[in-house]
Amino acid sequence: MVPLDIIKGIGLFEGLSDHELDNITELCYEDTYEADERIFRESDPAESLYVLIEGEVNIGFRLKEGSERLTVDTIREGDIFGWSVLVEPYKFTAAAITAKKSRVLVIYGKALRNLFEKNPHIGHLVMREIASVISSRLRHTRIKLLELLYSEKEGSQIL
Amino acid sequence: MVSVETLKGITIFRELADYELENVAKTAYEETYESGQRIFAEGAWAQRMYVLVEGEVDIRIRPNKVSDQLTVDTIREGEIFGWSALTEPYSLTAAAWAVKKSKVVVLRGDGLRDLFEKNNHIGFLVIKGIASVISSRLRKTRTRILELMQSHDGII
Repeated sequence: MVPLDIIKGIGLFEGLSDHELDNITELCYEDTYEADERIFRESDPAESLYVLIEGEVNIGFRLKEGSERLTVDTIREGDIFGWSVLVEPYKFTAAAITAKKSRVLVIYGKALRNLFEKNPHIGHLVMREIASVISSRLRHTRIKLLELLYSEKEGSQIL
Repeated sequence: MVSVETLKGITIFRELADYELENVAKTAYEETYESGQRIFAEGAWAQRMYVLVEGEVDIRIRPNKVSDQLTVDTIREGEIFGWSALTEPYSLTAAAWAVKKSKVVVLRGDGLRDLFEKNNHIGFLVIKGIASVISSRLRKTRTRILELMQSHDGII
């Protein structure tokens, strides 16, 4: 459980009433990570949704076992990550590694999903934000793909 | 207006009750595009979401001002595209082109968004379905990047 004030400032929960926010505070706790620490691994079962309160987190994946991790997104303060916990099949699609010492809000995914079923007003508003986050992640990933396709077409060296 | 039966076959609507589908149907109509015809342009204001009923549609982006558009995704029958009409900032970041003669169900973005506000249950279920579609599209795109990079590395 975290204080209501922390939840109130998060864009993901904009539009919710104090009573609804109270329901959410019950599903959260705070956690801190040192720089260069792994918060979750790609393909891990997704159990929590995260909001970055302070610090910086990189989202990335490896091309193959042992290779260097390719960063696909950088999470800034106020941003959410770990949204796979709200989307079937509830498995992370990338890893999250702290770039700086970070403070995060951790929200239990299963409890949040249950709350959405009970209160579709919360479900609709929060999922709308989540869809917009995934959509912008897809946009960034398509641009990466585009760079590869373009360099292939032009026959130039990639990376 | 399209029939409830048509909407029933679409994945993002599969959890809705019949009376809820009737409300969705009021925001929808059908359109047909010839092969080679553009459905929407990159950078346009996203006003409509589409479901491909029949045919094939390519999603294309122009890498820079001088280059031709490149295909970043292909939409198959039953799949949705143009979901930017439902997610902020409501702008289309890619163009859609029919590559075969295509029949689509068009859903008006403003009508759908009003409906979601009035009936949060519909809003929640449909947006959840869309989030899951975008997420699987993301996974697919990432796999393509991996394949391309590995073939460049000479691994495959």
